[in-house]
Amino acid sequence: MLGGEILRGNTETVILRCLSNGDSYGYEISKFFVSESDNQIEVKDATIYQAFRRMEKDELIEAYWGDGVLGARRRYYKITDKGKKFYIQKQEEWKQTKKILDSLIIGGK
Amino acid sequence: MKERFKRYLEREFKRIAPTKEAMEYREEVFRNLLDKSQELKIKGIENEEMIYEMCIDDLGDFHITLQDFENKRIEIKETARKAGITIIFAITAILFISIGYLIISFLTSAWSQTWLIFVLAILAFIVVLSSIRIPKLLKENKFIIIKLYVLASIAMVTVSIYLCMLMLFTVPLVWLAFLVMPMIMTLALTVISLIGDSKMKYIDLAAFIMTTTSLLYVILGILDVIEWSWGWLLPVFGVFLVLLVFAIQIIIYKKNKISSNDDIDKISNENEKFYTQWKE
Repeated sequence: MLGGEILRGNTETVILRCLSNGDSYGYEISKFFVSESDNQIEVKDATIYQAFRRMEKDELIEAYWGDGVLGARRRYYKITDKGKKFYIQKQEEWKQTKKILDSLIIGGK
Repeated sequence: MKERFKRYLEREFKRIAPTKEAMEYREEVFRNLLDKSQELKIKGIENEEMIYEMCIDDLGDFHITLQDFENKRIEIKETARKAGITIIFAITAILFISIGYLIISFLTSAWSQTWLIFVLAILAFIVVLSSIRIPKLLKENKFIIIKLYVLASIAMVTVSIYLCMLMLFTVPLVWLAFLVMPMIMTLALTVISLIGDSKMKYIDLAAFIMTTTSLLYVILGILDVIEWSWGWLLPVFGVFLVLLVFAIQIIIYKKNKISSNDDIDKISNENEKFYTQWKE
């Protein structure tokens, strides 16, 4: 399993993608990284929490306390309108980056 | 297991102040550890020690986040302290000035003039604020804000001088202070641009020369120091000076460009020598 460093500044975008599907909490989001990468990437909790704090500060997400399925009190995160716009923008940027890097690294134009 | 996680987090969070935010974060991390340990048990891992170690390891280095909490707390405390001091100082100053104004007014009965105390107080405030802020702004190279502070100070000084001279000493032609003000302002802007080596320095200098020569012509004309009929030569002299400034600037620019090209040629020649030099 690879470390989170492969994401290189895209941790926030992945979290935003996860939250676009609905509100979620820390542990569920860390599992999202593992499941969506077919068990290829594992991100440390500290990395995710630091991303949460940055994103809350930038008003991309909002946090609230809620009750989980088994009644456990959890801190949930919700994507804001600003976060949704930012996510769309990041998606476009990524498409461009991927295209350029494919041309440079794989070639075969 | 639950108690071990609690003890671990208690130990770690003792490094920072127990703020509401930090405690919420602790609870969040605790809940995360419980979720993770539960999942490992479901996956079939029975060794409690192994589960504990795996959960703690997965946390990663969360000390940076803890330090963020501490830094934010210190920052908030410092901001609150500064705001408190500022408010106390402002209230004390307003009270002191108001009491002074009332005492002097009652003693002298010069109510038509004592209100100038408030004008002078505003002047003092702007000057003190500028003298505190400008050195900091200089370090940060924020010359535009410095210019605004200086312009506000000059405007306030002019208004204060004008009002004091008019109300206290009834000096004639005191309104001329407002003609002197633009000269001082453009001079100050030029000095700031020169200190900051701004690209605007020659434009500021030109503005200063034109403003000064034009307004000097008007002021000296009003004061009957020079004749209106030939005094206009003063602004014309200003135009000549401005053209001279721009000509010097062009010469310096061209000279620097030639010198820079010479340097490039010199380096290129040296490089060429290096590339073409062989031992045999």
